[in-house]
Amino acid sequence: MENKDDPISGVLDNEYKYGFVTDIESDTFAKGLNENVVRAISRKKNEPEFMLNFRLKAYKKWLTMKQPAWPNVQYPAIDFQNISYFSAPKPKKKLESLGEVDPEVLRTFEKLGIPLDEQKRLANVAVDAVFDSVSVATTHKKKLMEVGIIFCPISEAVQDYPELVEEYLGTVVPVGDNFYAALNSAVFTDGSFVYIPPDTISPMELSTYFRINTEETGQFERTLIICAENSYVSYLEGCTAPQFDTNQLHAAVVELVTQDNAEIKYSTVQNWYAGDPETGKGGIYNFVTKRGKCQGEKSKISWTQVETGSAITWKYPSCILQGDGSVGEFYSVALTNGHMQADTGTKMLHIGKDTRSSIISKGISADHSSNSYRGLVRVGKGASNARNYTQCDSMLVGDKCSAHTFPYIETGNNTLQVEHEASTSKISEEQLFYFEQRGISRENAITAIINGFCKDVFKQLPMEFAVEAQKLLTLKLENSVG
Amino acid sequence: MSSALAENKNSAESAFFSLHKTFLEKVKPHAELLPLNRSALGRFETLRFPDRKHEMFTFVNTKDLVTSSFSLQTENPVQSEFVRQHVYAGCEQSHLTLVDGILRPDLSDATALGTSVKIESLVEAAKSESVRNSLKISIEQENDVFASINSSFMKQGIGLRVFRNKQVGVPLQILHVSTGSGNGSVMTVPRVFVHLEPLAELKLITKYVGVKGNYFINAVQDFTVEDDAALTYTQVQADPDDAWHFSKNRILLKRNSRFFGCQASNGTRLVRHHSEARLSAPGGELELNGVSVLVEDEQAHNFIRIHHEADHCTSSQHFKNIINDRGRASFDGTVIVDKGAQLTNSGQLIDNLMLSDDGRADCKPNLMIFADDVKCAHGATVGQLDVNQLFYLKTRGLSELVAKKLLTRSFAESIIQKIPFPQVVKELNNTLLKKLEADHG
Amino acid sequence: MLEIKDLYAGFDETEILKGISLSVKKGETHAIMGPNGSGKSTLAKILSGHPSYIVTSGEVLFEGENLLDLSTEERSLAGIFMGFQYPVEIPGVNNAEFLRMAYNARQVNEGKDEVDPLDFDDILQEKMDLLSMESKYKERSCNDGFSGGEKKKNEILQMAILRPLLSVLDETDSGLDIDALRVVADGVNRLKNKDNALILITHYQRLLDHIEPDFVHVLSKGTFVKSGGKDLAHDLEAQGYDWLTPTN
Repeated sequence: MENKDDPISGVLDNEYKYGFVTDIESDTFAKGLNENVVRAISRKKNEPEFMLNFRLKAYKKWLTMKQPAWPNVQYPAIDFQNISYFSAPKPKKKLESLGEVDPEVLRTFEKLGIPLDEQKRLANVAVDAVFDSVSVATTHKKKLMEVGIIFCPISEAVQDYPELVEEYLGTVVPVGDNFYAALNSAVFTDGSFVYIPPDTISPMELSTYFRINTEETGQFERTLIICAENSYVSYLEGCTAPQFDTNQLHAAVVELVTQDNAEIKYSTVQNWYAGDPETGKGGIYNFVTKRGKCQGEKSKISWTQVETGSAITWKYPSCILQGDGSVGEFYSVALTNGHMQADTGTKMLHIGKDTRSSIISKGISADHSSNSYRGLVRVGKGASNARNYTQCDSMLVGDKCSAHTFPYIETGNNTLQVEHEASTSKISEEQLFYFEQRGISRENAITAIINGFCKDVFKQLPMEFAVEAQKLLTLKLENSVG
Repeated sequence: MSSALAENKNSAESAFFSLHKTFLEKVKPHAELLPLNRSALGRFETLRFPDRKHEMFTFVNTKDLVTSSFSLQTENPVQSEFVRQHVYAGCEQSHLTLVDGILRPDLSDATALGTSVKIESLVEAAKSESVRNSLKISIEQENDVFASINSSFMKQGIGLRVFRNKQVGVPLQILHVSTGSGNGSVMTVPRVFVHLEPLAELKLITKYVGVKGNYFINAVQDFTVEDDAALTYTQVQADPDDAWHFSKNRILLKRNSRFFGCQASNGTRLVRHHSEARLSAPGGELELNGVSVLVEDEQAHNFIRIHHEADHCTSSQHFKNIINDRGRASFDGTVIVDKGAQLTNSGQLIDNLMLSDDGRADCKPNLMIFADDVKCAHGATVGQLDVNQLFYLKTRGLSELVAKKLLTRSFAESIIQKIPFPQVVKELNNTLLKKLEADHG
Repeated sequence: MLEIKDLYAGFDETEILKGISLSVKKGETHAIMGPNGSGKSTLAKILSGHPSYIVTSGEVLFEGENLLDLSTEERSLAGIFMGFQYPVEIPGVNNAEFLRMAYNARQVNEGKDEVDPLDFDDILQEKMDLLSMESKYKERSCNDGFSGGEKKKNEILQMAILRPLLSVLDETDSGLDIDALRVVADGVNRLKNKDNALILITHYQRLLDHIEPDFVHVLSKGTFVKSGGKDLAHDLEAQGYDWLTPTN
């Protein structure tokens, strides 16, 4: 690659470790999207009528919408008729135990560091493993059920708890919210569902692990988390995909709802395949709509994301701060290298009184990549004494990458208190020389600088994920030092 | 309407031209300075008074100022007691008093400075080629019309020079007394030229006070800090409310030199500080801090340009405004980092505390970066007192008023405490913050 | 300890050092003086192995070994410490943690165990007391937002922690107030002993009022034009550097 001689940018290069394909038989629809496909998905999942109506409404909306052009990313127009909208590992009937899961799929998750079987599974994390849009296994279900927590694939929730799904689905992200959300609402096949009953602190971290396997399959998962009054849950999401030359579309929707005094902490470590680092060929288009509604008073939603993969990332985990005194937080590390493009940030919509939000965004760009932060803080008329703190820092590695920040503030009253801080810095040869002169290796120096830059975000992650996130970044730095 | 405005502006400009004629005929400039006066008048002709759209005066309305008809200040007596009460403790033998811009040896005492510092009139100072050249260039390149007015009327004024490797232990105070006017408005043009030779160190306090109001003090100060020299500077603006106070500080930093500045503004009907700094050689360090407390209709505006011309320099700015009633503050600051100014570290932060609904704070923190290996940060806040903190204090039995005072003080404290002169800190705690304790509704 | 023999070196295409020879023995303090641009800092960067500087000919032996064969990191571990003229800011990396990394790199190199943060704090505190430094030096990021004077003090703290055999202090006095200069000089004097050596690179004589050199060398246009005892520094201060650039 042309800047191989640039020692710093070289450090960020690494080969994608999760780029293998699992050879399993899958049940995949023919390519293309029309009303019949939507109906077929619903039928395949044996859905009640309200779900079919939900999908059809979304599909009709979608037909009237256009792909958004405003993000600071470039990609050829996507042919939505060239994507398959359903792919599931066989057997596709409802799984009763892990024994029925294709052993290849289990091995895949094990390779990814997510053992699902009884002996090896993580003791303090309940995992819902999603393989090409279909949930293949959910661990610790029983233990969670003992305290009344529902944690299951959303397709199962549609069958077992239809009234909960009907009450909340689409209330945070309406079917016609945006192009990709509408598409997702029409065709989503699976995802995770969580319900935390009142006065319950979840005894463990809940986690979904997404894996895209099939080429030319769109992945459209749907996640819905409801946290009733005085409850708390911490939810983790991880993502990987194999290496293909073609681009794959990932258009997920995540909806969170908190009632009075409830708190959801939602953390993501995203490491989808980013495409060939030299040519930019292939990779995932990660067009995700994530939004939480602080419906109750003094409730709190906290998004933490570590974005290290995808050819294009386009996502803005947002908070609707409706309840008085509610709190929204957004902590983000976005690393782009190779030819990756990221346009990410958040929206904080202050509606209730005394609502607070804070945004900490750290962007690292290397090689030829482009990294944009886009954030909106909107304060409604009734949101008296709203407060926002925004900090966005960019770090450049090499001189062929770019970093942009687009902060927007819209205020409807004058009792708002806003703070905004921004900085741009660079990992410089002089910094590395300074470390080396003190006897510290180049590799350790880069890790220390990057971890130092990101620590405000890492400290928000649950332990397990913080370690994983640090490893991921280090992995991106590995192989090339020395 | 707009043509009426233009007419006002034109007539204001011609008023200044005729005032300058008076200066040439009656006040009689110094022959040595006259070419500089003329050059500055030429600049004034080019620059002209700003209109509302002028980029340097976005937030400052100078209409009332420029349309006032000014006369030149004729010297008025000042009681030595008045001077004494404004001389800081510790500066009894190290203060220079300038009355309406003119050094008054009878009201000054510089015995404590010994032979480290040379104090001379501007005319004397300008005999040095380097001073004359630097005056000449700064006048020719002046971009601030008010500073060019100062230069076109420049006659008196002083030059300070701290000799090589001399560290002046005692703080030196320059006290500017404006005598003001009982009738029509008067203008004064104080000018101070400060030069630190290599390795020199000086602690300087400048204070502006007035006997009566109704004056326009239009001051310019030049600071040249040579290699490895350090200047610690504090500026206290305490003119009466009906004065106009414009001051421009031009700072030139050479290799490894330091300028640490703090300013405290009381506000008047219109205060404007213009700071223009150049970090011209590697290793320079610049810090500018400011606090202003504005009540009723007081205004204080800051206009700052910091130019990083060389590598390895740092600059930081932190300004805080407390605004009550109909007070107005603005901050228009730009940091320019040249292509060659690698490894620049620059920070800029403005905090505004609004205590009323009618006050106004405008902020424009700008960065223009042409180098690619720099660390630059900027931030701005506008906010009210924290309701949670207020609530907390009230649960501890403090009255609303006391709790508000406490929090307001603590907001200003972080800047005031940076002033390295305990006597100034003490005074500011008594005067500046006291203003807030009177209830202005 | 250090033997520089007829060294030619430079930056990019420009040759800056043109035949430098210098011999430094244990327990000695050498001062290298000269105007800006004479090559003083280049010498410091060559000794520490800065990647942008290239040696064209000559030899540098450190403790009998060919120094030029070693990487920057290896030179550091071998006992060469450079006090930077402009210490680099490392935002986000806690200063105490940075010092511990550097300290542990030495421990590992010497086959000793790494020191945990608690034990290291004792070591650090002792050195900070020695240099009368406030606790903020532990809490803040390395050099980030430090004033010039604070950065220079931090360099001396690192020197105290790493106990180098040879310290090359590049304009450690520049940008320092007279009071800070005394503190820094005092720290350096305490660290000096009969087994280590010191090269002071400076523009001014005033540093040498506080740290007494055994030898003074005057560098001009890439060569040593004069060497002598500490009195040479006084002569230089009186005459300035103008005599080095004879007018035709």
